[in-house]
Amino acid sequence: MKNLIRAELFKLRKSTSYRILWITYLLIETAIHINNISNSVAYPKYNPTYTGAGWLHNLHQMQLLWAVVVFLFIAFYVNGDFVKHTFYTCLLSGTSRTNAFLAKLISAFVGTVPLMLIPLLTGTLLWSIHAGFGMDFGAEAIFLIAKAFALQLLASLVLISNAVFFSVIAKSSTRTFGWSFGTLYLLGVLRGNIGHIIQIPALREVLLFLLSLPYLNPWTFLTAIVLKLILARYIFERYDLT
Amino acid sequence: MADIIFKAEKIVKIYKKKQCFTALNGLDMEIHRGDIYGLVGENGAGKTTLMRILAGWTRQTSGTITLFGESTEKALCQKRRFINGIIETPAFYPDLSAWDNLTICCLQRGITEKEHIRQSLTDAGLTEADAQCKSKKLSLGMKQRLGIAMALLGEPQFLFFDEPLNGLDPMGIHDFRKLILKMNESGITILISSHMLHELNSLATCYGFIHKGKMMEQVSASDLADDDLAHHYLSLLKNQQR
Repeated sequence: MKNLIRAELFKLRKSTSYRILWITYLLIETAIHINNISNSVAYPKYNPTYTGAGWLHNLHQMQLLWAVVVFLFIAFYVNGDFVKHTFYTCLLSGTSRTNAFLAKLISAFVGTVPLMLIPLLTGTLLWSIHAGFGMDFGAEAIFLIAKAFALQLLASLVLISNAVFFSVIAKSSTRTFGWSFGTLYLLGVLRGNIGHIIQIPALREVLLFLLSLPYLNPWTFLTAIVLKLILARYIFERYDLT
Repeated sequence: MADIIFKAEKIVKIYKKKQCFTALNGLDMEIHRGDIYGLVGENGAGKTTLMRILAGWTRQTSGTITLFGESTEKALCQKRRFINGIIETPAFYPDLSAWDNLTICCLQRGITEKEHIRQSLTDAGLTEADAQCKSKKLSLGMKQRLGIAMALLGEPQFLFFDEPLNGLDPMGIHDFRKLILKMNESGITILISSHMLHELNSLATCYGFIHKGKMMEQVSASDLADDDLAHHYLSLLKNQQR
């Protein structure tokens, strides 16, 4: 297992697609923060005065962009091995499919951390420049940054488990991305408009309960993730690598 | 009698995609240590499926495979560490250099010394300069050599090659033949499937003739001495069709 994770991390370090994704995300985040800064300068009355942690507000509004990044990453990183038949070198190293799957999952999670740092770094840097160097962040800002990072980690767990689940079913990068993003978007639309879509109150309540079930408390949250991953592993175990 | 490296007993493989297709239909075969086993059969006879089952890509629908005397799923996973090979085309990361691809295989197998990579490159007829090229930029023959270099890592005892001569030029075929003989002299058992019967004729020490997922006959090269391989195969096919 340790060997497999080392091999996976080596692949990530050398991967051109990963570098391209990192740089593209960095540029997009930079552009978004610059845009927000210029808006705050142009229309100050519509914007709160940004403190050292004010940009966090923007960060929370960019979860959909983060989801796109994670889905793209899983689509090329996990599905790449299905397409290039490279899972097979893993199996010929004397390991089981379960270990191959777990190694991939762990390294996928580790691989999202450098991507996760981008909004934090660009936000901190650009808003610091805007507010003037030497600004005192204060304990509250540091707490908020830590909280944002922790939330992003949890969001990543959900997104990765979704994308990995779809990747073992879809076996293609395009389909993995499409299904992961499509499901997230549809669920979002459904939750937001359930009152209009479902006219039967009892059914609406049941659906709302089911949709919010994973987010009731930490245990239901973790259970939902673990169930998805167990199902993904089960499919991967029985899947014919073509 | 030499010990049996690989044994297949009544292997059935049915693909259930859209419509059922029986790729292997009760296949039995045995490969002994030190053999160069030539697998002969028409397109769709089940040669590739058999190799996929051997490599752990695909699971048989029924029947038992035994590798180095072991047939349980867990033991098979571990014993696959001692086998390697190429099915159809070598599996590697096209955006990474040949050296990096070999490094990944080494990391997966827990091999830390770079000397192993150099040795496998030399054995496969590649130079260190070749190894610095991106894998996708290598010629077909060089890719095949890279696949062989990857297969040779970790000192395998049993190698399998599915149509390894496809697309190789006469010089490439000549070099491949020499390499196979050299590997066999060093004690490696080899399984090759090919439509190029005259090439198999110059390599194999025994043959298996497969037709519609069943083994028609297994015969040693010495038993075929007076008969031409192609003639023997065609007469077997005619007998089957009667």
